[in-house]
Amino acid sequence: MIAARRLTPSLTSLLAVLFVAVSAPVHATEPVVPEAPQEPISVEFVTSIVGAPEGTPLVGTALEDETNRVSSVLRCPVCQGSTVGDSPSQSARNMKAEVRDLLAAGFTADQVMAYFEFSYGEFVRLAPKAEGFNLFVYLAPLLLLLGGGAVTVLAIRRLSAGAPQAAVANAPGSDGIDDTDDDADLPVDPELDPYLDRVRALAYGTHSAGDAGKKDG
Amino acid sequence: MNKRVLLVGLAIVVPLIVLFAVSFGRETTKVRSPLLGRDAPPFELKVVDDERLVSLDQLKGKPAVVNFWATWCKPCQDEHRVLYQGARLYGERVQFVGIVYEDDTTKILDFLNRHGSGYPTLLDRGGKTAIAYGVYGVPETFFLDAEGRVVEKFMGPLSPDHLRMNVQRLLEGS
Repeated sequence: MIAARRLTPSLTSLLAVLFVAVSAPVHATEPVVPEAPQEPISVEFVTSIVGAPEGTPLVGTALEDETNRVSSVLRCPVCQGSTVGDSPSQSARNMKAEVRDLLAAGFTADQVMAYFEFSYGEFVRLAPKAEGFNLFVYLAPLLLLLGGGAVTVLAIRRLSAGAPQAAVANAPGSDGIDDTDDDADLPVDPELDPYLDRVRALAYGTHSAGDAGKKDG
Repeated sequence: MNKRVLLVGLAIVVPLIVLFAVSFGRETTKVRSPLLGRDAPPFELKVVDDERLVSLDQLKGKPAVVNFWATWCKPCQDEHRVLYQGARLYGERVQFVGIVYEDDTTKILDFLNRHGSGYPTLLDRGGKTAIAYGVYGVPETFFLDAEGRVVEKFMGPLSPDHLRMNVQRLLEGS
């Protein structure tokens, strides 16, 4: 348990460092160039990759809402941990414009994602598909939570079934009975003995429980 | 107890260390693009210094080197010399094309006037071609075979050796 207590802050620090490293946005140094007239999208090319448009061409508020929604799950390739919707980089703005064009042409959100995945790979999805090895990403936190819970329950059971009850029972004056001999029931662990002695010294005074019991007796 | 905790700790930490070691040890200039082995995305873009249009279809028949670059990108400026020399050396057997990424026409023309232009430089307004090719940043270079299939993608500035190696690979395959 002591070693586990020592390990916990180290793991917490490691996870904190990982979290900061992954979530910190690093914007590319590319300049923001003035808006230039864009080439129209090649519907024929996109269709050759993801099939014919399966949705209704969007316009107005519906188009903007869906553009923002898709952009929020599309990873900005020149940033780290930032979405196309969040990043101010020119690449992200171009990608968002492409999303808007594709939705306006009648492609569905799934088709838009598939189109970007065709050229950038699965990396472009902020949330990887829940299939194959990716399942590990989704299941690992649950498994860790269950594992941690099981370890905690086991540790609590072990503690409540072992030394603490004996220590309370052995406290001088708790029941007026000298039951020093109960020490024989305590688990024998040479590594723990110095710690137990220190705890007894703190709880009962400067002498060990055995000495205290003898004194009381 | 201590051994058990140590084993659990190792079971958590060792895979992380292996993951980082593998990831950091990767060759960053060679990226496994989903486009490798596939037909290159088509394009038809305007040449920067006239009204001509150049398309992927026009490039087919010879291997091609398609380079995405920008004047604001320092590594691209250094790489330009390598591509310029490469175009002079291999220009009859391999077609070179530059596609400018998020840049200003005046600056592009100024750059080409100062550093020379040995092959067509195309404007990708709105970056749709860059998106279709999955460009992360510049410079990036795609090596296409004579049928227009992507043979290799190179991230970062090409050295003369990198260019020679990839062009020879294209020529051997054609």
